[in-house]
Amino acid sequence: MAGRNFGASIYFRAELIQSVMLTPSSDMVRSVVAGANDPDPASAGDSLVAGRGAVRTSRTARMSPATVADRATARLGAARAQALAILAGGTLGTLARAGVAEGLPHRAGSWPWATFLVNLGGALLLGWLLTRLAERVRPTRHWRAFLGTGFCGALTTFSTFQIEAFELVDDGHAGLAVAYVLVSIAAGLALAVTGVMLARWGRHW
Amino acid sequence: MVAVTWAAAAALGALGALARFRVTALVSARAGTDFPLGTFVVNLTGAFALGVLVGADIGHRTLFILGTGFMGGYTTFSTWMVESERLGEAGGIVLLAANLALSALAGFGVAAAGWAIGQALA
Repeated sequence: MAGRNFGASIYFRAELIQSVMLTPSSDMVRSVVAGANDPDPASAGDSLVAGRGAVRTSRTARMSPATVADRATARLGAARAQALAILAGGTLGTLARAGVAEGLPHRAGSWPWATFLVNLGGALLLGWLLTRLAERVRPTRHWRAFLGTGFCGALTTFSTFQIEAFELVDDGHAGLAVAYVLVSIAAGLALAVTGVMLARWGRHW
Repeated sequence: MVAVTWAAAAALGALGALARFRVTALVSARAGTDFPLGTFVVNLTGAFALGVLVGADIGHRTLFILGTGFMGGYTTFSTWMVESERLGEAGGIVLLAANLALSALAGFGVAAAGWAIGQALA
């Protein structure tokens, strides 16, 4: 696989970029492989906290989200803790999307701003998150499930996007429907790429 | 809208996200291809189901819970975009374009078909 390397850094973990697919199964395999190769398993805690300030180990060790997650995992088992992380993220993502939809009601024949905005925001966030988790920080167990599969997945929607396009056509606004679909896809892809590049360039985020 | 409606939509959205995770894992395990078939299957089934719900005219509150809640949590736009980005990065420009075009066209088609079926059922 010929992955382009934007902004190589000491954090860059080339061995983690073997899988193209974002499937849960490959993620789990990747975590296991990465964990086995980790030179310092004692500090393989949560990446988002560690990435923000790896020097603050004494403070983050107090009770980081990773500690909470690790305790939950110890008590529930990895699969159930992962499911809980997805449910928690899914709850927040759905509430955020529904909230935006209520705040920006969609009138028939007009541009569906609410779905448009949550979809683009989610594409940017997920591009950044998955790249950061895969390439820039130590492998973790729950951030991907919580923020990626749960929050970003539930925040964004494909079904509403398509039914909105259909309703625009049905209402006699075929041109607007085509523009909505094309602009959503073009901007969504551009923002996903932007998120990926931000994750590779950012030193502390 | 009352709090219980929001709670129901949020709970079903969470279950939708978990269902997406399970279906994606199931499909990817069997597919064995570079094409992100799991998300494709999830998004098309969700778009079809939402089409049926909207077409059947089930009322604002029920549609909010089942449509905005479950189907919104089940289907995803962000994973579709990031998987496309990964395909492009791996050199699969054709796969990238195919992933975008197939999902967009087929998604629209199944949403429209679902809507027509929903209308017939209503």
